[in-house]
Amino acid sequence: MTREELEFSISRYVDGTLPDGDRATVGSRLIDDPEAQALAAEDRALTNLLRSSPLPNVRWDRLAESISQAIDQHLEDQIARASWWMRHRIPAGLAVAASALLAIGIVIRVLAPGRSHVAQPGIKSLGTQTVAMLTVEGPHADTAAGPEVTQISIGAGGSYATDSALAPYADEIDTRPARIVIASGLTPNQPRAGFPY
Amino acid sequence: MKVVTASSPTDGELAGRAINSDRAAFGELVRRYQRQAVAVSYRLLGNSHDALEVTQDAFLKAYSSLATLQKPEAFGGWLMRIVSNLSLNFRRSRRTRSQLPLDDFLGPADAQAEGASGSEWMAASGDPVRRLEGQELGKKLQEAMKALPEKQRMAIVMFTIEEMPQKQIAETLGCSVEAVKWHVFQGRKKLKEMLKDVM
Repeated sequence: MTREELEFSISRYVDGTLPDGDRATVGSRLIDDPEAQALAAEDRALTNLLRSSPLPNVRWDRLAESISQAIDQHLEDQIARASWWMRHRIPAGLAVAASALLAIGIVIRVLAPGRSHVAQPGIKSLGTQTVAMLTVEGPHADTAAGPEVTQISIGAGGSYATDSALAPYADEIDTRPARIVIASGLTPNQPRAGFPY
Repeated sequence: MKVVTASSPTDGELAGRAINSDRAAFGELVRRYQRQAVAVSYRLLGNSHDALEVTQDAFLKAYSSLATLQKPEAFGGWLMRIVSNLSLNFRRSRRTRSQLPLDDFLGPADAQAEGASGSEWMAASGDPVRRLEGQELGKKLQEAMKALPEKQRMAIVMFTIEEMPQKQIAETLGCSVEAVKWHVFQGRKKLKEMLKDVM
């Protein structure tokens, strides 16, 4: 056993961490080895010296209370920070969400069925003439709340008025309303504030 | 020294409840470990006010970091790691003392000694000569401790002085139990050399 190994063993013997088997060996050596005895005495003196240093006289109850208050303050600060974040971040988030909803609404309104729809353009044979056709349907007419008062028919205009071959198709051309219905009552969406205008 | 009776909840139980926002459970952990925290910090810093400030900071940091505590039963070692790290950082940064009324936590003798000498080691004797000798010895011991490498100093503070279990010290220092024994041995060897005149 080297001197360093002996010192290490004695140090652990003194502080009680030496395994039992080694403890018996060191214990027997301490009986008749002056060098080992001197090392053990030094270790015990150092331990006593280190442990003799006093601790501050602390009022533990006050310290515990102070720590508790510091934690309370920390939690309050966290809540205040979270509240600030909610005040400043949530409105911005809501604005973004509202914009997104608005955009989605516009897209749905444009693409939804029942709204204006442009059919595929095509070529239609009308007797001996070939005519390019584009059919546009809608938007749907508002439905009057009251009974029909009168109905006015509007005849075909332009070449449809003069060419009898085209006249049957005049109602399919969206150059003017095919008919106008005058009815009593308000339409569902008509604002009452502006009535009767 | 923490005292846990048979009916007391274990550290693991208290820490587990504290993780679930039980403030009372954390309060119990504070009462259980505040003395050890102050002692370790004081041995590392050599100053009551600094040790108290570090202890407060350490418990606050522990509370706000509870979610990162992987083994609630190892709360003690984890807390001591926070205490020792904060103490070492405090020394390195030589932070200005806070304006907290820390004297309120100290008994009269400590509050006065703090301003007078800066070293409280061995200064408790009523005999002026012995008190002076004690102060001298305390200063030498403190200087010797400061001269040790950090891990050796912490191992001696926690094991030899505070008598903490080596397993807990190993968790605190982030090393094996065998390494703790070696740090203690090496530190003691250097201290014996530096203090041979006064031993």
